Amino acid sequence: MSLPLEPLGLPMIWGRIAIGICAIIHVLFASFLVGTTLIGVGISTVAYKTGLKQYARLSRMIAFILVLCTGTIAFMGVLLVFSLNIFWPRFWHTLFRIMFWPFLLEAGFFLGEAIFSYAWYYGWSWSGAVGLRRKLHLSFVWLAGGCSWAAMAMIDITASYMLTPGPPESFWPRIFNPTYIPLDVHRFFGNLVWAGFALAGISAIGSLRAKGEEDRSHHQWAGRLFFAVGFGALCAMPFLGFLYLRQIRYAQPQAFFTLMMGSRSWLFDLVALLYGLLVVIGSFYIDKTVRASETLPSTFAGFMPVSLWAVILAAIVFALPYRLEHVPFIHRITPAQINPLGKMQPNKYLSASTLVVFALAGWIYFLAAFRGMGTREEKAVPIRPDRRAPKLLIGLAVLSVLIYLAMGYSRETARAANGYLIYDRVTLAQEGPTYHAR
Amino acid sequence: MPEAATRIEPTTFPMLPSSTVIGLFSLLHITFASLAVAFIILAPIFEWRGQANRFYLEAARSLTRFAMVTFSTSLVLAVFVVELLIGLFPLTNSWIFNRFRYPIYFACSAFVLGLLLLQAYHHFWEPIRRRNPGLHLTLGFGGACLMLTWVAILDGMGSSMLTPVETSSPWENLLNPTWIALVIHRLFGDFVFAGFALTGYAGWMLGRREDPAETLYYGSLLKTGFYIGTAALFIQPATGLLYALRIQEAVPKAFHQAVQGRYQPLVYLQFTLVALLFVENHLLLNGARTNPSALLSAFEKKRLGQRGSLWGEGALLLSALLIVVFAAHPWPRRFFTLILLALSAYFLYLNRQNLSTAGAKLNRPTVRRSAVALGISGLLLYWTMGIIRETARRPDTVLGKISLKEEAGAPKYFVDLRAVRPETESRAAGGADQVPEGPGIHLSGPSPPH
Repeated sequence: MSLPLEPLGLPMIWGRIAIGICAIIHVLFASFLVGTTLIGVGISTVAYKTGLKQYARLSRMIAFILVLCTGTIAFMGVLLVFSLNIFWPRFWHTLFRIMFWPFLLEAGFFLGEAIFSYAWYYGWSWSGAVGLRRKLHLSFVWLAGGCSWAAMAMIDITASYMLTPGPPESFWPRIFNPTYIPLDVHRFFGNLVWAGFALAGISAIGSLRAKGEEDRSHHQWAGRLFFAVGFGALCAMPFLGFLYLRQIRYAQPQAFFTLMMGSRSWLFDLVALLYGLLVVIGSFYIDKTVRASETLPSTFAGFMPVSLWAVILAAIVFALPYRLEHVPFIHRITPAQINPLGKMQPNKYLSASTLVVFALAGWIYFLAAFRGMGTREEKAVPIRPDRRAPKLLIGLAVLSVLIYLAMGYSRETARAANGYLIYDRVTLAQEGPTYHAR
Repeated sequence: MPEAATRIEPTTFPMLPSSTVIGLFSLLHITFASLAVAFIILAPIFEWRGQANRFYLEAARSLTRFAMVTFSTSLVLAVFVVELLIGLFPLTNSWIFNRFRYPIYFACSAFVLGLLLLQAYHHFWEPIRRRNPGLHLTLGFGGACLMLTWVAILDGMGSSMLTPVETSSPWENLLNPTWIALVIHRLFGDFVFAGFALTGYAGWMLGRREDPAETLYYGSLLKTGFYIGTAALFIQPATGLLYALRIQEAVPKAFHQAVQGRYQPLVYLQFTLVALLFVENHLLLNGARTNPSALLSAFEKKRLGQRGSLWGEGALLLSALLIVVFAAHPWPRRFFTLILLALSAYFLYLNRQNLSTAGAKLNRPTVRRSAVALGISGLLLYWTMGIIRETARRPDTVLGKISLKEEAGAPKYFVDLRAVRPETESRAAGGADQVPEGPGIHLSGPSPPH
């Protein structure tokens, strides 16, 4: 028995493009949803505990965004499954056979997330109630958050398995393959970065478009809050990324080599460049907002200029490529194949550490000065009708999209560049008959 | 077959047969999906009528909200069905998606566009209506048309599993003998279920609300749902006949199996539910005009002098009974269905004045109970008909092409490269220092320490 398939009569590249587009759109929305739900859990809990109206308003906005996104993501998931069925049936049916239960559980948890998100949004009148009803309303967002996190954990099993598969016939090694936990933790924080900056960007647009002072003040405050979440999570990313890459190095050295020194090493440099830009722009945002705070820390004026120069320099070094031959079009500029400044040890380690240390310090300053920026309702004083700070937040949101796409593509292409769809299990060549008759 | 493939057991679901698992999720999915399709079509029509009557505007908004709220749930249930199909019936799944690839692209495009229009239609209802009511209506009708396109193509895939055609063109697969008939039959089925679901919901809410404004709203909703469900119910026998004749003509064996085979009890169940819908329909009509406490008002003395004599109602009940008795005999059953239809239409005509002026009269136990019963029967009928269509193909999943037995085997296409490339085993032991070549990698150039 074999698959009853008619060849598609297309070059395989079309299938790769179609799957790539569907997967990127789906993953981008899905990770935004996971991050937003988790941020929603925090904000709605604060709203519940403190009763502050600004937090309640923000929770409502998050609930609305979740409702808008959930249906779209559900359909993107359908589209991705349909595309995999059409373009990569051999790979997809094999993977599904191995990952049947994680896939089903993922769909089940997503269903739970959708139900609880809708219950949270459409039962908003309960947020003003007292006693059990109010607690029940809060429990909806917690359940939605739990379900979305669990759904992500399920899909991470499959994503990590494709790169570092365990023996297909034994259940637990399939689940706890070498990169599962590092990938899951890396994604958890990555989702907070992406969702935090995206929500900050949405708030920034809201503040630029606000017609009244009250609205502008609220959106400015919301932007700062979301920035704090995104930038805080960003500080943890290099260390988590290091742990993840370390696992790949030992479990799938060929893929590691491809990413770090091989044909796809330019992608790692691209990720480094985007990370550096995020830290630099984030530092400028911190500089701008903390300086205007009523509770400006006394040492800030001395620290920030040094920090800005340090992160700019570190970002440049971090992004420098080592194997120039693999950087597209660079041969038109230089015939050199190696750039010694782009060495991982010690240059990139040092520059990454510099970025993290100064970003972390800046983040702590930001948190210390946060209250004085008008975070509390009674102090909701706008700094001034400033258009530069919101634009920096929009820039961060755009960059976070780009870095998410670059990182996702790096992981996928580490397999595809070596000819695999599932490492050591299914090759691209095996999907050949789907496209052309033998 | 590679050794590793044989080591993986075929995917199974604990406790339940594969068909039952898919069937359960499909039934859950179609419950939401059928309501959503009908409501998405009805909403802009209601909104259009809402220019003269405020009730319709409120109802349009409620229908849209229901469709959008249940949208994600319905979609995820659809994902469940597809995922179960991939895992439990990989051959059938491959066959469907391979044969219908172009219609699927088209359907997905229609769905994305429809979804965007409907999101705007629902979430920005007031702002758009304030600025341009015509644009809002256009969004609603546009969304409905695009969703209908999606549903029609899915029906093409479903119908081709029963009546597949031999062709190499993905578009021609859509044009199988039962496609159009199924699209029409399903669409009116959606309206029957949606209409009576509205009736049932309104009947249930009438019993829980005492506020006059709400009573008036739910009374009107009950009437509207009743008219929609009844109208579609009167058309359904004709669309069902068309669909049955198309199946009989294309695959007589499958038709015979559905009506006379081992799943014959389902046919009896189906016509029992059809008969119940007609009887409950009549009870609701009677309830709106007679003693509030009477459930079977037809047998009350005081009604003997009223329009619609006992004889007529007796004939209606008898014909309802006879369509069940002759469920497995198409032509006598069709004859009695015609009589039942004519009598029901006659009584509806007689009672049209009562119903249109009923208002608060509808808030009576007889009416409420009949309304809820109509909703439940509508749902059960929808489920039963969905199951019957699937059983007609057994033991094939795609009639004459793929059987359940073939699905039970392990597919051959799973390849474990370690079985043919044992050197990769040593690679893991060698760790990061060894970088072997994969099937597509060619390491070249200097590899200085990094």
